[in-house]
Amino acid sequence: MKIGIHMKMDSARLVANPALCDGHGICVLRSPDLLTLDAWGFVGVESTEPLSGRDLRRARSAAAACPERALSLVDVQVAAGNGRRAGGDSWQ
Amino acid sequence: MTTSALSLVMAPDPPHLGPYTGVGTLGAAGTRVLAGPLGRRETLAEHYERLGALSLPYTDNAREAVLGVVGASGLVGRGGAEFPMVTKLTAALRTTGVPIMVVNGSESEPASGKDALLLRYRPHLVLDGASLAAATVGAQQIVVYLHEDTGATYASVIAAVRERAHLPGMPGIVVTTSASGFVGGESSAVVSALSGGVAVPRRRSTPAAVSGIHGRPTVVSNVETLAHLGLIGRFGAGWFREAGSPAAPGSTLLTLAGGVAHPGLVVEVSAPVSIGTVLVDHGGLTQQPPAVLIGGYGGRWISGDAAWHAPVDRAAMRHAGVSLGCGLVAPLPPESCGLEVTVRLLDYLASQSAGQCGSCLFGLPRLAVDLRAIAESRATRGDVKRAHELAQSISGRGGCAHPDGAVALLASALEVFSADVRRHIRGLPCGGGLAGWFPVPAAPASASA
Repeated sequence: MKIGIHMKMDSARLVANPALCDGHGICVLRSPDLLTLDAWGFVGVESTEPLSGRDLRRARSAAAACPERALSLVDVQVAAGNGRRAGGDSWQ
Repeated sequence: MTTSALSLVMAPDPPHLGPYTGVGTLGAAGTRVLAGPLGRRETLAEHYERLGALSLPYTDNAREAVLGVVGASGLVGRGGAEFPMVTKLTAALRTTGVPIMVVNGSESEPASGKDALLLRYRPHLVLDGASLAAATVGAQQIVVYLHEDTGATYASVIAAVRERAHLPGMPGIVVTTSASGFVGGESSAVVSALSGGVAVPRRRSTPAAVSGIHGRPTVVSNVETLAHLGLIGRFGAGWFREAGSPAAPGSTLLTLAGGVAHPGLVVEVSAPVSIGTVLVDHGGLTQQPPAVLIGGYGGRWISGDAAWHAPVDRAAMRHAGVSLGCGLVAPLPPESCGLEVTVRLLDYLASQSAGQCGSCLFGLPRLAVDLRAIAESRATRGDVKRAHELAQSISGRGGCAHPDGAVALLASALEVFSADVRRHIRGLPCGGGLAGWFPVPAAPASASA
């Protein structure tokens, strides 16, 4: 049984947890076309589309660079089942 | 089933305002969740005499049958998200683990009173709905979650729970309170609080119905939703759909605020009754207001003209880009400045950020400051444009929908009150002040993560 394997995905979504972001900004240097900073330096993901190829490599690099682990790559199939925005399934 | 406004009663006193005066009923024919005695708690004996006992499902077949009825009824959550009830129940039933049923009575919108009203006057109908939901998913425990400052509501629920203690086959009921602010009623915040954490929204990759309190399947439902469920369990899906529209079946509770004759009045309404009809019949209005705030403090202003003819129909409103949310309907009084009122609400929303996400923590106070500058005639046309752009840049960047609600409120204010904005930019008086009932709790009760 393999433990702690590094999932190799061909296609994934880049997802930010804004509650973890502390505004280091390294991710945006790694991946300026996928991520933006707001007026106070906190991250936002530009697109919720599945990424592949070069975009996916850059996203992986950005996620790996985050000291707060605020960025993650989510398998598209998994993400499809939980397509709603961060914050939960609903407001009640 | 009549399609006119069904019934109304005064909301119980909100904690920050003191007791209401006067309790009234109108149009009682066809009343649903508000049927029965008003102004006091309906006892279990009265409740069963009026509606009969509710049979609960304890076999797999019976549970599937209830899911079928709930699905056919089209019942959606009345806390604001309009999430289909059957989807939550099905997810909790199909997931491994013993589910927990949560009655979300936190009602964090300061001007909303419908849930407190149901818990005070109709606790058994709400607990019926909760018991039906619990039995359907196999939950053995019901948790009633309230804000800690709701003394009379708490007392009513406790009295009702005591009366039910000896009912056979009922799930156990626990009543719990939490000190929490505006965002504390969001379902992930409720789950966090009930898991021993802080009552702030938590980012989840799986819905609470699959993995909630301590990882157990957790159905979190709004009080009004469960009251409707308690009736659906008795009278069925077809009966439920006799009121409302095919896309938004059933009746809905509205709380009237702002410039109305009796702020805090709760009205039970169903489509095709229009907002204008509600405001004339129950709000004491004789003419169209300048604008109406719909859905809550994180809702939207819409022009008085548009609101006047809009049916109280969640589906039609959603189609028009407006959410009926918690059911707040607050017309702006003619003598009030919509921008000043919005500044007040934005200040409050900013104070209620959980402080978890930078865009919300820093962004919402900035939005309030920017709008205040506009309202106080200190802004230029460029400032207005920049405020709007800043707001849009914050939208979608929070871990929950709190900043998005504030942004939508601001954006709708700049649009609906554009004539006022132009006057303020030119330094002209708008002739309005801060009027109408738009309560904000005195002490910011924001919990920090």
